[in-house]
Amino acid sequence: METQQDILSIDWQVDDEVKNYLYQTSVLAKFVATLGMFFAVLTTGKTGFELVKMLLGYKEIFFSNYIIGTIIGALMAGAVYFVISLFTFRFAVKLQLSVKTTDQRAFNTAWHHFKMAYRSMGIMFIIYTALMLMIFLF
Amino acid sequence: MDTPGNLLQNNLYIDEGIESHFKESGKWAKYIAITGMLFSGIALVASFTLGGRIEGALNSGFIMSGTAGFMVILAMLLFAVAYFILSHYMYRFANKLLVAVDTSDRYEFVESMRHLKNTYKVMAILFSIYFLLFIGGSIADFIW
Repeated sequence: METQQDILSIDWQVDDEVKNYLYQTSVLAKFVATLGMFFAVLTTGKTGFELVKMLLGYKEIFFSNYIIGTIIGALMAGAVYFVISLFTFRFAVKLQLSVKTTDQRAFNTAWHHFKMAYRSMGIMFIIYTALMLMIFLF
Repeated sequence: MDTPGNLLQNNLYIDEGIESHFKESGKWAKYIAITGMLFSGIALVASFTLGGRIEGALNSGFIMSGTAGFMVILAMLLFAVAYFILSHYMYRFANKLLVAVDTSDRYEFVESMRHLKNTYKVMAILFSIYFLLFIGGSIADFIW
């Protein structure tokens, strides 16, 4: 008979219901990540292009410095978003592979990438919240 | 950690290594979800307060844009609601995952995976809509 201690010490087995959820998650995550990477490149490029056009229109140094700062900010936001999407994509690919082939190593790697994606997102949210608070307070 | 036993099995396992990934991911996801719900609340309040001002500005003077102001408020409202739904699903996923890891409850684990799938489903729908609007806007910009 299994005791409470036995249940806690045994590694959980991923059953068919969870496998089904994980497979669907991997397909959706792959789609979201692909769109995210494409979107990060597209928006950063478009923002950069628009801002450079604006920069060429202004001759004053004051405006130039402000716009250069905005360009750097937009590029950094795009880069961070690209990195998050890349981690999500890796998570999705490894998860799909692990579910299809029952590869435990790929399964572990998938959750490592998942953690990295959420950690990056969390750090980005902290920075964003701090910036919002600074703008609100000063 | 991978053990030779696990590698030879026909099933996948949640081992100690994955549990530690779950713990950290769950904490981050919970933080992101709570911050997201707060932001969506701020966006909701802003849609009623700032939205009115934007509508007033767009419908006054020589611009007289007609429905543009209303559209701005509607867009802000929709964004707030959609973002709240997404954050809510993420919160449920994170909460269930952390409970599952802490109490070794299989039911909570299955539920957390279901919520993870739903989170990505909502994300996929929102991203598709946003992407289509972005492409449509860019094409409109290019034509005019």
